[in-house]
Amino acid sequence: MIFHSLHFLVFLVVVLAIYWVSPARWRNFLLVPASIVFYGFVHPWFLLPFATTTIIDYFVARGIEAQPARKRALVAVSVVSNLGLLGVFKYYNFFVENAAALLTSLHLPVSLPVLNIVLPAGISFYTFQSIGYVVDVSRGHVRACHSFRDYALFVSFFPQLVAGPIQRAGHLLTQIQRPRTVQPAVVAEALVLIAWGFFKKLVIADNVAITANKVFAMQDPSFAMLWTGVFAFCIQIFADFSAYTDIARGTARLFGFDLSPNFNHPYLADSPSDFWRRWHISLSTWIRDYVFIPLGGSRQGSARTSLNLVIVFLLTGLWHGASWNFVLWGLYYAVLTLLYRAAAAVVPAAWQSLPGLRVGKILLMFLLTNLGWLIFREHNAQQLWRDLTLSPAATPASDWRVAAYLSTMTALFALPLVLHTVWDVVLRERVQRWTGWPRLAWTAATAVSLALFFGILLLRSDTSQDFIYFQF
Amino acid sequence: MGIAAMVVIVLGVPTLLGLGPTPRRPFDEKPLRLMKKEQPRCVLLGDSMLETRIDEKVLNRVSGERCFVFAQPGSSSATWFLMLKNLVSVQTPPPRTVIILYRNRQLTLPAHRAEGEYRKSMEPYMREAEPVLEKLLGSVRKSTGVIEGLVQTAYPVERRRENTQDKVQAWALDLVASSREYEEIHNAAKKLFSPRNLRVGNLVDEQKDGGASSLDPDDHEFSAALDASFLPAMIELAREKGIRLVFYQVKRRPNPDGSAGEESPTGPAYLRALRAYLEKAGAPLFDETREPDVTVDFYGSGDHVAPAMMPRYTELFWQKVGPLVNAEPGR
Repeated sequence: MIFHSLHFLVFLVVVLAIYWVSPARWRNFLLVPASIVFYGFVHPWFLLPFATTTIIDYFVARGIEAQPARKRALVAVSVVSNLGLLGVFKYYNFFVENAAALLTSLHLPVSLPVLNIVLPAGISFYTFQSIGYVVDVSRGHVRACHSFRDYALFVSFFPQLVAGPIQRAGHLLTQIQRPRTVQPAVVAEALVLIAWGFFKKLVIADNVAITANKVFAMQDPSFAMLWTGVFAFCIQIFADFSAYTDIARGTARLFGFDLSPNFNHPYLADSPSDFWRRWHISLSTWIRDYVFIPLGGSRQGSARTSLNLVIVFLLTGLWHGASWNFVLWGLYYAVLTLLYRAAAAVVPAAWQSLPGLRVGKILLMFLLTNLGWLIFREHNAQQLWRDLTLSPAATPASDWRVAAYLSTMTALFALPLVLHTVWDVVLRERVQRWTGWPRLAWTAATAVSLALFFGILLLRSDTSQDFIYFQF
Repeated sequence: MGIAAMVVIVLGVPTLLGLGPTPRRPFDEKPLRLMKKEQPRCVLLGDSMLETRIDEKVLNRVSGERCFVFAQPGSSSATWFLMLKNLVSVQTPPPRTVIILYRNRQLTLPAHRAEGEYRKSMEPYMREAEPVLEKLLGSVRKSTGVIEGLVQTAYPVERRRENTQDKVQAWALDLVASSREYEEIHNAAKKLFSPRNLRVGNLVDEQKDGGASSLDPDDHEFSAALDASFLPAMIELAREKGIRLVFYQVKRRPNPDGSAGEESPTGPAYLRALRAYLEKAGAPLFDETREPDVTVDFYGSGDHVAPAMMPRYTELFWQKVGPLVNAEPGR
């Protein structure tokens, strides 16, 4: 079931109503089947790999608690089975196609069978969430969950099941195990968050997607048109993914849960590492805690640190999809991070605190991020090479005019994102201090929700698309 | 009290927004004037299949006639009917021939590409009142679900939304160009994103889009769909004005070995019935789908002909259709 459908609206209203009129002890029990209906609504078979992961990790964690001496073997069982499932569904075809191409290039042509199946939605998200739980139990950070119902809810909780944010057991599972209440102020905030999420998806992301899709469908875009498309995609992917997160967080709040955030104004980042502290935070912190630090992090010399960075960024890239452009995208961030680290080591500290430098660094990082999005969006290597070698001088004058028009359209649709950033970064705290409101007042929240609601009615795009991160 | 006020606002404001005359794009006089100036003897109507196939200059040369290629990507029979009625048949004298290029069962899918964005792109060809269009589209519109129906009743803001979208576009144009440059930018954008500039594999199956019709786009019977289609109205209009209508079914991208692509088992029966009907009405039909000389080498993206192959395709096209155009009516 997708968020921007009437089915979801009806589903949410019905589940919320039953949830809050039910006795507290039945609420977790109710949310599990609700989540199963949500997830299996279009493709019921998606529930099979999902159930396999849930069952294995529930018993593995119990086993770790019962037999701590065997925890390494049990963690290995979890990791191998989870990554095995992920590998079959997500990476098998990529592997066999590349293996066949390699063998053919070695004059050993083979025909390997490929799987003709749909990738189960959200498989990368719940797989990582479940592995994280098992590792946390093995490290003693959380206790193994003794209620299968509660664990099933932790993995399946429908607001964040399909596209995150990836939750830690220490955060979500503990909330599941406690009784929950919800205050009117929290409901008001949740409604604003949901309305803002829908606005970002239906008005911003879906409208700018028209330009991005058209440009990336062109055979030979000029320099101006290409970067117009990349700029549109840059806005689209942020609006789209953060919209999902906002709707997920807002919906979870209506049920009394607090989900961890996933974004912190990523386009204000001033370096690649800063970008990854602000973009898809739940994934980058997962990889930091479960891969980078166990590999030795940045404490084993510069060569080992560099290698660790390359590994984690390649993994980050591959997590997004079984395609060479994602590998390249990960590698791109690894190289950028290493270059920034090298530059930081040689640039004098006095220069680094020059006034206005941060603005310049943010602008530079924004341009580099756009270059990254080009790699991310362009699946064809030959086309990517062609794109990267385009010269602005070869752009016809008429293309510049169309590019200016389309970029202005993108900028107009992106304006609410800019205003939101200004509010969040500059104004929110001051207004709250000045008015004395620790949280948005009910009236203000209602007004904002209504404004967003009418904005959606009047400005939503004709063509609505799936959330981009559904494919991961 | 607060909740009641919110309900009133949520339900009331959209209703107010939906009141009043619905904004509509005005009739575009430009093609009318252009046609009047050029006085073509032969007019070709169609969608991107036409735009990416026929080179007007080559066609003028090989046919020896003044031809006018009027292609609108994303159009279908409803738009072609409007073009025939409001642009072509009102010419004095009207063109001798109108050739309509189509694919599969487009001719009997009246609602195909006639709703939403497609409807907006049809509006420049619509006069104030279009009773035939509304009657035919009304009879085949798919009924909406209960929930969708309720929402559409509660929020009659669809046209207002389209108008707002137009305003955002106009605002963006205002910011980058003067009003006399609008058309230039629009034309440049249209050219840039025309089907011939798209990559292979980036085309949606246009036969299936705009699916407001309750008919199965791939598998409906000709006789069952005829009365609800624009065919009888087009034939009647052409007869009234003395225009010779010719229909040309284009070959979709063939398989690499040259054989026709996937086809519905009921396809031959449909084609026989269509041909019989058209021939009785004095409108010849040419079926290109089995022509061996239109090989896969002609094709660029999807069913479109590659730009470099358009001149050759145009020559082949006229070799096939020329005899039909020049034949005496009734033969």
